[in-house]
Amino acid sequence: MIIEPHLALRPEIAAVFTPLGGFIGATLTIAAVYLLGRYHGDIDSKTLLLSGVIVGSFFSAMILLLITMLPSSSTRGVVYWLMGDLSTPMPPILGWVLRTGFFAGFALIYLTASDLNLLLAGEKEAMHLGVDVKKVQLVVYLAASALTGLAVSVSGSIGYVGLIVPHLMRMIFGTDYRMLLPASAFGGAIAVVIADTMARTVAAPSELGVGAVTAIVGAPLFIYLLRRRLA
Amino acid sequence: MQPLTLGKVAVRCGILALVLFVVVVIALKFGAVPVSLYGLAKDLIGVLIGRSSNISSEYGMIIREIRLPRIALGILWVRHFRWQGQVFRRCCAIHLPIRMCSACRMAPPWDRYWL
Repeated sequence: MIIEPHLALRPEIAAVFTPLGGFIGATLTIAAVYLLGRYHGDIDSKTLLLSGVIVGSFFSAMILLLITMLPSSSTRGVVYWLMGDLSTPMPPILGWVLRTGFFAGFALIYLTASDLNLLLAGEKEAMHLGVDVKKVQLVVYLAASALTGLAVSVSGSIGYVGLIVPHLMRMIFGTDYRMLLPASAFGGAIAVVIADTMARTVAAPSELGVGAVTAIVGAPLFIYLLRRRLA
Repeated sequence: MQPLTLGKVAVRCGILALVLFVVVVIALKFGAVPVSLYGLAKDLIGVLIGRSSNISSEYGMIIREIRLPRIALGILWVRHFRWQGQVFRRCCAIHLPIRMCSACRMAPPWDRYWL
């Protein structure tokens, strides 16, 4: 079966529906991972990670299935979007949604910064110090996942930034979340702008995927950080 | 150990914002059409402080229509996605030593957040 091109929407409508579909997909994935990761009503870290890996690989297989059903003329666009693409202009309404979502998510997570600091000492210790651990975990998980869903739905997946930059910022500014959260925001913005500039200019006049650039730089750096922590 | 104050956070964020501004100016300069770095920085500062409402018309279209939107999207994108690392870390339960947790709860309520 081939998905026919005449089913495609008008460009201005497609520009809104692609991120909307992406966000709905992300929300369903978040719900699936959360429900599968719960154990006797609690969020268990290992189960949550494993369920995330399994749901991720399942949806990767679904994406591959959809790509095989597309006409070959559309395949390049899909693959390019999946690699992370910042070049598609964003409709103004989406800009507002993105900004509102950012401020709401930022406020929600930043308000838990002190509790996250206490959680560094361990869940039991934090509980003894008055932190509602379940509530904080749920708020951070849902807000972070919703923000991630919003971001990925607009520009595809740009890997390694969310893994590397917070670790680098932690090395520079310490582990206090009240500083770490805004520092990671600025550091990540700097990293993506540099990666995007490299993607635009390294192989000019053609353009590389931003996700490919961040992965090429990020993977060795992540291995270095991991080895350093183990050492 | 020095307590973290609102002022310290503001100063550090200000430094990072300055670095981001420099990176954005450099990112706007690079591309198929060359743009003067000095003129661009002058125009952007003018727009930011409200002295000018427009970027120079010589390269205005390239900056406004092509380069700036994707840079803005990149900045917004990361502000959403940065949480992934934090959540990943919490999910992995990598506990690091903390030296201020008990002090946080002992401080008066108005000082708790910024102890």
